[in-house]
Amino acid sequence: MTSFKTELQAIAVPPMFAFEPTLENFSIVQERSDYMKYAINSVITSFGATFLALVIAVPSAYSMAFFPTKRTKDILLWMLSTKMLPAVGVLMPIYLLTKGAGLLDNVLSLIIIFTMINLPIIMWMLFTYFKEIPKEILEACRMDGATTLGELRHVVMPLSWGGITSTGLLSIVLCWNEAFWSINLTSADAGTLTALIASYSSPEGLFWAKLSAASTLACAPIVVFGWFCQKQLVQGLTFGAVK
Amino acid sequence: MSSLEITKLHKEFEEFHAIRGVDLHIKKGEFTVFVGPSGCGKSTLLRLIAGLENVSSGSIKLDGEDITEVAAANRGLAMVFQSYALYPHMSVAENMSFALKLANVDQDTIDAKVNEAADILQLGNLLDRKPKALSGGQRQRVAIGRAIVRHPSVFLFDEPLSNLDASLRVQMRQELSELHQRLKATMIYVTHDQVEAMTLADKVVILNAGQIEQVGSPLEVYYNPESRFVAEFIGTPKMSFLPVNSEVKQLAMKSDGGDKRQLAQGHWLGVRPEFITIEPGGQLEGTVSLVERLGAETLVYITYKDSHQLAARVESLSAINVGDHVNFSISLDRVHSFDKDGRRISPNVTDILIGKN
Repeated sequence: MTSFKTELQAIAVPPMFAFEPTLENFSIVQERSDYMKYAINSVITSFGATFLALVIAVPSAYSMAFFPTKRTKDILLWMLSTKMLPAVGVLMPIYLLTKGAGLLDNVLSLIIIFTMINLPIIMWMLFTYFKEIPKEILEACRMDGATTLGELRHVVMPLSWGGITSTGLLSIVLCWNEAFWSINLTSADAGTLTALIASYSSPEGLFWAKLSAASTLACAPIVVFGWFCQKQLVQGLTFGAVK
Repeated sequence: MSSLEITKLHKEFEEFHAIRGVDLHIKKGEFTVFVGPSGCGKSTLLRLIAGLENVSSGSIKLDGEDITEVAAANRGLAMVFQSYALYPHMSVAENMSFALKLANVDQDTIDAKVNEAADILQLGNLLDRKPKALSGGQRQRVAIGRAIVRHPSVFLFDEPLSNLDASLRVQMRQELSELHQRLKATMIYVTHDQVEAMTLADKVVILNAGQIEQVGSPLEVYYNPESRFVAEFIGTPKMSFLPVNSEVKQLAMKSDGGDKRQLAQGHWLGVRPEFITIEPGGQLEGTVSLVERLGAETLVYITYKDSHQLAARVESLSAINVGDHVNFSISLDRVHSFDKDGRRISPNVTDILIGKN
């Protein structure tokens, strides 16, 4: 709502509920920085990272789910434990690595980092979905003459399609909302929408109404996207609950 | 149709030696049944043949060609699983044609083969259904159909009937038997049900703790069990065992075949229920502890010398009741004796029976 107020109205105490809506914040935001550029960066990073993560995670989850070894459980726990590390803790090394690779303010570095961040969760989700598939079906498939890739393509992927898509959607949402790394590693060229929002909370002052406008613009696409995929998402998350 | 030669096969899991040196020859077109108690390694042996488990040592040859290291996908064998393992997202027709599609067979041939298999298994009107819309028996037929369309060199069945109810199991058992007659294919069948083993097999392989106890035709293993284990495992009710004491020894000495057997303290006599006769003049005495009336026959369990239970098969309408003291005799020419280690030391009963006739 604040995004439709003027700056003065936005900081008024007590808060105003009746006001004349204005679109001026949106046009100011658009004037100051090109919304589309940030939006496209967000799309590229979240979709790119999700795609890359799935490409890595599907085969690994397959092998962990169907050919477990003594260490599989430990590895899964270890992967999850990396999520417990505060991101700030590795800010310095990663910043330096990115700088050294010449990838500061570059979408590629964000894609790689987002992939890394979400990989454990994606692996875990895919692992649990794959676990639901009876082992015999894969063995039958192997007896029928399928290669490992054939097994993945004809049996594993179709049977866990709901799970894979909902994992992918979740990953896209997580990447889209990821702020820490995009703020720290990008500025004008590769900035995502979260970086755009953050730029309104600057040393020159806090612009509530413009900040809200930018937030609305940043959230809108993913909300709409989520709305359309809702059915898929719910189906995926409850996959296997009812056989 | 192929022959299979297994030599010195071993399979060790991390903490468990599942198969301990199996040697076996399966002839072309033979219906071989692996039977044994749970955990004896029969399914593992089948999975080793299928290529779903890696062999620890030893070799498996198919038609003389070593396939020990060949991947399951390239062995050309077909397997029917206990849980059917149908592809839930494919229709019946797609399930059956999957292997052919992977092998890039043209659509006309696929259709012809699927229809042929559907005819054999009476699945014609179910081809468009998904597995979840089928009953257990139909699913099992689809699983068999999936194997048939490929014309595999060997069919492998892993307890295919154990998820079905009793009457359906009998029907499917007969259908499998007919299928074997019709296809004349080499089939290997794993079961823990000795009735399935006896009715289906050309050759029964009895496994115990990862080793073969005995290989033979159903009647061979029934009449000439080589060990106490086989004697107890094959036959319902189980063969009864009597310790060799002075009374039994005396009896045995008096009978025709008695002197042929080495009867010593610590040995055991094994008697099938049909070779125990309850009659007033019987030399042995016991108390009836249980009577089971099955309709066509009645089973009487007699406690001998307070500790040994013997099963006897008597006439259906017999008036015997629990608690009765009875005299009984044993057809000693059809009795087996086993030494302390459970190996049979008496000659083949079938030899004696055939000699008599």
